[in-house]
Amino acid sequence: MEGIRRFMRESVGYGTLFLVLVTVFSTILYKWSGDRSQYFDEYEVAGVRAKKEVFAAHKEEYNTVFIGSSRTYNQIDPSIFDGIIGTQSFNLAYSAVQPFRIFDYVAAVAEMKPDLAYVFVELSPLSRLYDGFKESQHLHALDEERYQTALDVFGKNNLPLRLHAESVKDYTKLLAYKYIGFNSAKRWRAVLDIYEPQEQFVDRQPYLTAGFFPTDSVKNDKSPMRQRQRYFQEHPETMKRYDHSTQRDDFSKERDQLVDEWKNLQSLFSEDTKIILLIPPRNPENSIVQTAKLKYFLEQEGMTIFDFSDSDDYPVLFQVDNSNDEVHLNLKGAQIYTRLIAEKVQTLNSDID
Amino acid sequence: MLFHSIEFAIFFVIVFVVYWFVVNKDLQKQNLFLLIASCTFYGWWDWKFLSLIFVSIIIDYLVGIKIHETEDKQRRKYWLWVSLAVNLGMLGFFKYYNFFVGSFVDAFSTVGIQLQARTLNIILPVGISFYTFQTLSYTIDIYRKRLQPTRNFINFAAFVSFFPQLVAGPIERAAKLLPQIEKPRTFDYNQAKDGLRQMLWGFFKKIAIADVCGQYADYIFQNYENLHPLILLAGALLFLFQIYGDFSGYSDIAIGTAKIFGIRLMVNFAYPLFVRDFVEFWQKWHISMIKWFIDYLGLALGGSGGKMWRRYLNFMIIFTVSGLWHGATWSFVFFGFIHGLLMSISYWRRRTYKIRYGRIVEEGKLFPSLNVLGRFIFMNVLGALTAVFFRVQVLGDAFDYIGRMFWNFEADMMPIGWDILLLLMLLFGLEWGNRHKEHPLQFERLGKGGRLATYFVLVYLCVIYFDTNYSSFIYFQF
Repeated sequence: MEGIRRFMRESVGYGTLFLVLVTVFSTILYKWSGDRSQYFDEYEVAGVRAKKEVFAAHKEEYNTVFIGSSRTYNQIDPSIFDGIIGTQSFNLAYSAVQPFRIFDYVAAVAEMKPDLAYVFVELSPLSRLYDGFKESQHLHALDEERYQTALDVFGKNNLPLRLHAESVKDYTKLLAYKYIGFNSAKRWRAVLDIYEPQEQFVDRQPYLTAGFFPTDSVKNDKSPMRQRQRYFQEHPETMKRYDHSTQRDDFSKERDQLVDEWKNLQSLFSEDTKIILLIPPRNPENSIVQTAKLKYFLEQEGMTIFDFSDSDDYPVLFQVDNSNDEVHLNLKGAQIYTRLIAEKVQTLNSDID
Repeated sequence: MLFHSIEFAIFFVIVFVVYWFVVNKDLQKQNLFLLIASCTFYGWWDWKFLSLIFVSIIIDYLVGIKIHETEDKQRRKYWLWVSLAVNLGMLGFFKYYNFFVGSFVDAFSTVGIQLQARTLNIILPVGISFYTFQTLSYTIDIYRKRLQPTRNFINFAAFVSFFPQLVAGPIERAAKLLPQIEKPRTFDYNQAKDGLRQMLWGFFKKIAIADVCGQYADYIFQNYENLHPLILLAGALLFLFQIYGDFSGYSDIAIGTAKIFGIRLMVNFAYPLFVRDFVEFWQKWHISMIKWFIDYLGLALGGSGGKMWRRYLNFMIIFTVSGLWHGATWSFVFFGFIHGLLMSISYWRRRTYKIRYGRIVEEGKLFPSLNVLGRFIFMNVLGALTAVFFRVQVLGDAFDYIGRMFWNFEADMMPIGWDILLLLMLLFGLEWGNRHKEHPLQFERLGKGGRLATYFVLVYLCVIYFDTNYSSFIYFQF
């Protein structure tokens, strides 16, 4: 038994020592290697970097941008939008770009000082990390300050105790993973100026496509998008889970969900630039109520919001034929969605005139 | 359950404690616990497929006894066929049904006959090719009177389902593994410590080599039509290193885990990136699979005796079938065929020029000679070209990829992170320096400080490159 006790003693001892050391290394790395927005802007998501490079090189050619997650990246075709409105637009969105990260991204675009008529930003609430650690890129947008903000937001949201506990657990786990150093090779690559492989960025020439990349074009069978597509094709009935956009809650309690941060996006640009927030169709179930709340408060602040989340208003965006999966449209759906946005802009402009 | 997951870390600690502290006094309880742990490990993916493993276990357990009980040749053969039919039937249905139906329809359509045949939406059970071969070896060895059947069902089930190697090998033989299951095991401090080091090496190869190379390889293979020939060559090499790191990494973790539980598994990879011809390559790459094919299929084809042309033909058959074992596509079949051809050429060259290579490449030398280095490079490049058929599972696309290495010189270059070069240098350096050992972390000359520093570097690299986006092992699909 002495052998096994010694083995366990040494395993625990060296394991703890290594854990402490890697945590120290990672903490030093994160403290030393620049602020989060600069880091995100350049290195966090390789596709963002490539898109931003193209946009920076041609910014005089564009007067409209779309910023958001895959539900903007894969769903808004600038060529259709421009054909209707007469703008020159570029789709700057990318997969997994969500709150916290969106604020950094919009700020980075504003810093380029482009002359923009419209900035469309996808509106989404600060969510619990549904996929947990699998969203390993999320950990780079998180730091102590934002961790505290997230806890405050969840605290104010009157979430059921179970959801609140899970949210706290997910964010705590993510911050712990970050400081243990999981996936921090991305940060090392940023420090050492090593180019990131572009895992999903199959569209290598965003200039030619104006940054649009429909879900139908994703070829990587291992990509989450293809996995979702396969699952959806086998279980199209899951669509109804997301058809509850009329759910409402009591909005009178607390301002929450980073309302001030969303509102402040306008201040990053000149008065001539119109910020329009987009709520895409079929929000994930857990965020429907929160998005509705956000919309409610932001409209009170005078923000313009195009909301496509109501299946009664936009049934065409909730049809299986127009879908890649539960929460993404396919190319046909994207074309319809883009036209609907353009028509809303036309209506908005005619109201102003 | 993946080895490189938090779930496995918790599972491992629980199983370790119960195995060595709670059920260690009673072998039957220990084996029953091992069986339950293995079922939990496998059932983590999909518990429904456990039933397939148990069908194999029950059939082969009974068939083994039945074959042994009779001396009647016909009866023995009959029972062997039962085992073959059940095991290969399940493998054929789950893995090859759609392939054969599709190929059959395609073949008729080329001569103008349009057939209507249904393909099925079949999910491939994880590891079916591995455990099927393992149980088959049991019944075939009993049939050949090389092995006595076990009468203890729990022991047999624990042997077939032993969790470290259940889903991706090494494909163990009953003659080696079953006796270890059947006798009491005592904790061996040195063996367990070595197991832990081998696991670390496996994690490094999986996380810091395979997954990182895979990021670039995936990108290059998806965009190969637009990329420069040099990038295509780099992509093929990176994929070769990816499958090496992925599969040999899995084997190292499996072997290391088994050592901690007091069980020795066979070596599955023996530094196959340092080889001089294809005979040597297949002596060092996926050893358990190729030995299985040679021992069972090769013997059925007449063994290594007889005329030379027959031997070359057997090589071609064995390797082509082994290609099909990997996956149900014509690209895998061609991968096997081309390796059979290269194996035959290497074998012919060795016989003609009376070439003999020692077991350890350049034994005792600090650096390889230029000649040997050139052979390593040649073999890796050739291996990478054949790996294209492994990676691109449409035969025409694989030829297209290779073709573009020779004419698409106007296409784009792309930057590849130089951190990969550092990682590969660490891999090659440690493997070369300890190529006479079972794994490269069996240091002889390094002091304790140097060893700890090396372990820490590997741990740190595993941590910083850990990314669950590239989590699964490639060989799970086989």
